[in-house]
Amino acid sequence: MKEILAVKNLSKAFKKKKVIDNLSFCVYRNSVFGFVGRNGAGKTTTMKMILDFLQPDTGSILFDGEDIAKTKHNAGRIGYLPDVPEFYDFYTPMQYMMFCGEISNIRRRECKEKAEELLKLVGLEKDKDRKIRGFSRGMKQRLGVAQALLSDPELIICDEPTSALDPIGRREILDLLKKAKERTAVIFSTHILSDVQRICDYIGIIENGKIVRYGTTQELTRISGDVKVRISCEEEEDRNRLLEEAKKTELCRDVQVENNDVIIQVENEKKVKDLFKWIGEKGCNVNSIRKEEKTLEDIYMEVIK
Amino acid sequence: MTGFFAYLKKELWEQLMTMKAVIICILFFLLGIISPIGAKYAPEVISRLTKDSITIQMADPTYLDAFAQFFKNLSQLGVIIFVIVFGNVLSQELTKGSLIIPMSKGLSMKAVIHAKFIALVFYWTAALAVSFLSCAIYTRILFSEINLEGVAILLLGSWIFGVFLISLIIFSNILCRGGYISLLLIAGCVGVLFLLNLLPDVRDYLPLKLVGVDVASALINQDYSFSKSGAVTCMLIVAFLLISHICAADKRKFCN
Repeated sequence: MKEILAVKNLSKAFKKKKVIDNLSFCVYRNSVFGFVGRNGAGKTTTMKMILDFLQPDTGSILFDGEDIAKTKHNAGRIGYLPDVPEFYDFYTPMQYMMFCGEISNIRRRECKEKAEELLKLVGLEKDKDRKIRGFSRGMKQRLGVAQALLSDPELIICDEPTSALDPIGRREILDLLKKAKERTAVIFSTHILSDVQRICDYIGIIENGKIVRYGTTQELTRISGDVKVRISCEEEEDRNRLLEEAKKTELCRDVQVENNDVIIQVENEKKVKDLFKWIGEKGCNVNSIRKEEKTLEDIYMEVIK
Repeated sequence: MTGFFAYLKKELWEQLMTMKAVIICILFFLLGIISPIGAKYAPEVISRLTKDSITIQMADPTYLDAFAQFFKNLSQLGVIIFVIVFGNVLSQELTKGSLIIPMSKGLSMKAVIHAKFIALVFYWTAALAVSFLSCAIYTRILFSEINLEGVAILLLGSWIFGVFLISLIIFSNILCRGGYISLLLIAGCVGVLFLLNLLPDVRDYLPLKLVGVDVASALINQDYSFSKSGAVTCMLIVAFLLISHICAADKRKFCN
């Protein structure tokens, strides 16, 4: 896959506080990059530097192979959807799209066709002549996606587009971003991990201004160390015995009870075999033993510890 | 200046759609008609209100009183209304964040400043025209005699003063980058002008001179000159716009 954006050794400090610390990652064409991190981790600052709204202290941002600090004509090539998009309420979506098109130097007729197509894509074709003033948050986010796609950008940056939405609105935006991937690359910043797991091809976890994990979802779960094994026992007595024994052995790093099952955490994949053997040796009546699939949440909690 | 015409259109349209332009025109129309009405009926009202023991001798009002009242109202009430309605024209957008999306598409801050300035000058000119026309028509109706000679230069003085205030609005909005603090800055600057106006040596050079002439004697004797104050005001307009322009060169300051 060809990369559209490469962030290299980026650093930024506000006064003396380092907000971004030697950050590097890349975004590939026609893929969704999930930019995950808690509030204040440095996601928005990074995105603002990509948009040239902020100047990095050190490092470089290459957009389509060219340093964005040296090329000043990337405005139409990068679309942006802020976390809370603010529009001019007196405009209708169609008028707003035409206004954006004129700023982006898109020909009037072409812009009208494009705007109609995009408003249809985001499900606002029936509301295209209604004033934005009466729009819900979800509708505004959808209009935000439409305007971001107007100039056929090669990359769109979406800053927490789902955080303020209800479940239906969230689902609509996620579906839209999934669709948008066919046209462009997407940076999807969020702290909602289930959203990331649903639509992202690549994930970067940012903590204290550093990328602490980067890769595909599969890669991230694979490289992660700890493995959890869920054991379901026939009798309560067996469960309690297993629990006590597990606490004594060095093989088990952590033991918990969850929904009447014993969850044992071992150091790595190799130790799972030893654990299975150890359970067999204990002679407990066991209904089932299965390795727990790690969720992104598990990995996230692990890396930000 | 990417996006200048698009933004100018938006700006003109916005003031219409948000009724600000309509409100300004209505208020300036009222301002125009209350001046001749006030001039015509004020002596009558005053004489009715005073006690019988006091006799006030007042000359019959003429169109000159109507115009004097009009320019006084315009320079005080008119200017205050205009600043209140449009004083936050840029800070509002910066605070709200509605410029972020257009700026991500390449709209420059310089284009925003120029468009705002031109739109406000357009509405100030329109308001002034509405106000003066309504004043002139009512003066013609209420007073048998009317002479417009010399009025144009007084109108020009008021117009330049308005443009000066608009440049001050833009300057303060850019400098304060949002919030009501910009209104305080405008009030502060006008306050300084009033203080300077107390000094006889500098009075003739101040923008206040443009709206502070004795209208009746100016129209009769034509013995006024705006050359010094006009030149200084024009220089101040250019200076305010230039500083705003320089401040706006780095759009990054306004995107965060």
